[in-house]
Amino acid sequence: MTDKSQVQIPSGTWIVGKWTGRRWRIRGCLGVGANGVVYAVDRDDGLPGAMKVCEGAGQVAFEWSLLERVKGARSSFPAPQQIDDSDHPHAQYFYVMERVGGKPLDKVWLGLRPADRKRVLHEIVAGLAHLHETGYAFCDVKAQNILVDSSDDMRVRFVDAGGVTPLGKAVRQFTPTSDGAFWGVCERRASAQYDLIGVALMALTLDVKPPANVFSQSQEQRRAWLNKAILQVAEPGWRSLLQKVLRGSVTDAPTLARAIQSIPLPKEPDGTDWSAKLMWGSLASATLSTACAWALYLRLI
Amino acid sequence: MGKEATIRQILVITDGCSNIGPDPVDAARRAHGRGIVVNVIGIVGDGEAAQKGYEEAQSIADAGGGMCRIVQPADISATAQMMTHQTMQMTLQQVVNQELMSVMGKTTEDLPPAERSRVMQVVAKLEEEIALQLVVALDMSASMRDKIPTVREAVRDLSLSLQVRTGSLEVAVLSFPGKGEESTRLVQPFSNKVDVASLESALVARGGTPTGPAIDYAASLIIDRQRTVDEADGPRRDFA
Ligand SMILES: Nc1ncnc2c1ncn2[C@@H]1O[C@H](COP(=O)(O)OP(=O)(O)OP(=O)(O)O)[C@@H](O)[C@H]1O
Repeated sequence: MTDKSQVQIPSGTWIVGKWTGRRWRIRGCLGVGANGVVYAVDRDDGLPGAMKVCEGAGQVAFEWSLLERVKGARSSFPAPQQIDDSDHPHAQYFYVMERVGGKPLDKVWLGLRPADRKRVLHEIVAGLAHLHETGYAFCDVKAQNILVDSSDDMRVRFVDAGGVTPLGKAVRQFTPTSDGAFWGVCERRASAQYDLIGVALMALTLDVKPPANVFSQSQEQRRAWLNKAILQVAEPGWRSLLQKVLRGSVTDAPTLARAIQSIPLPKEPDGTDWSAKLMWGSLASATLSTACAWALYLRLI
Repeated sequence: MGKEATIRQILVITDGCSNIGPDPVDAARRAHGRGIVVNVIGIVGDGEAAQKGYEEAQSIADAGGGMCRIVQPADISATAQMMTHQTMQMTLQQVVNQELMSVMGKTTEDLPPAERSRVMQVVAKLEEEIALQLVVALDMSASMRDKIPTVREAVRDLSLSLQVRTGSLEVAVLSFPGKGEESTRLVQPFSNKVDVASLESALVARGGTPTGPAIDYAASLIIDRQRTVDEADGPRRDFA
């Protein structure tokens, strides 16, 4: 376990690998998680990477084995590069992976247009479809673990393979708000369906914040909240799709990907929005100038 | 390692310092001596009393060979499941380390990292398949009153995580203090899941904090259980 106060390695430090003999230069910190710290690094030959440092050799080795299992040209996870040890007191055990671009979904969601949201959700589900084909589920689906690159056509990547679990096995790492078992809608067992329910819960809770007392609620109360929250989703297409997923009637990622693709976008959102704003704006300024004229006339100002 | 292997743990959830009965740190040391890992979740409070409580929680976990985390009520659920998982992993890693040591004279850290990965995959597989015996000991002293629903849901939630494992689960729940003069009370005997109805009716906050007696009682539940099972199926192999 690591907390934010953990001493961080200063930029410019060289980390020398004991086993590979390679060297990496620390460029900065990319993030601090529950299991360790991730640094931006450049390898001695210039290859950019992301170095994950954990306190225990076991955790590093375990996460590495998961990255190795899910790797491949079509994988949404960062490609593994090297696993190694060093003499640096703050980087004794680490692995290096591909550095992926983009910002966490929770940071960009509010600014996304409906078309972008549709695209992002489709990409996430397509990434899951590929992962499920390899016999694994993501399990820890949460907005912070999904990086979206708006400069690269909303490309979606997954970080933190720590929750990846063979299909059928018990989920070890999850986030309550996107965990179907927490909400009483499915078992906490790795499956395609578990991941899809996670995506639906994530999408829903990005828009509608769960109540502060959700942790003291019974499962019946949590389910009741979910049903109410779904009704707040404005788009009928999304609303009924979320309902279907949470009811458990969508069980595989390709089906969900197709369903997302076929949801119609709201009509000309930008155009109407903009002209409507302009219209209201000019109306407001017209009222205002009339009011000013009257005020001047009556010598109020 | 055969299927007979069992991991035995006690999880204490408390919001304060013990003030009745024997020292909980000694109790945790005794339990650990019998092959049981003791984990502690402390619920944050304020003032000097809270600070004393945190220190005690940490000492109990240290003596019990387990972990300690001090968390907000909302995080009890996630913490309970993370701790159970990490300490099961720790226990299995120790076993694997001993095995490696005796076979090759090496620890996991001595192996090249790529081989460590294979060891960890074995550990993960064992963790999924090994039997788990868990006693959850809930502090029900007066100050816990408004946290009961959160604690109840957290225990139910932990059970959801554990009962889908391939390995068998036996979970018992006790509260401390118990009714009347009792320092502890068995809320639910060993079962393959947590019975929420029994939690709903049995969890009532009152009185002081007999943490030591609760740990001793939890350990005796596990040891007695072990004895009856041993008599039925012959000896088992246990890890601590
Ligand atoms: N390959 C990568 N490229 C770029 N950024 C990354 C990469 N891996 C991780 N990060 C960043 O570092 C942060 C922490 O990493 P990660 O989620 O792996 O840590 P963790 O300890 O497993 O965290 P968690 O608390 O989510 O379990 C991520 O949220 C992400 O922003």
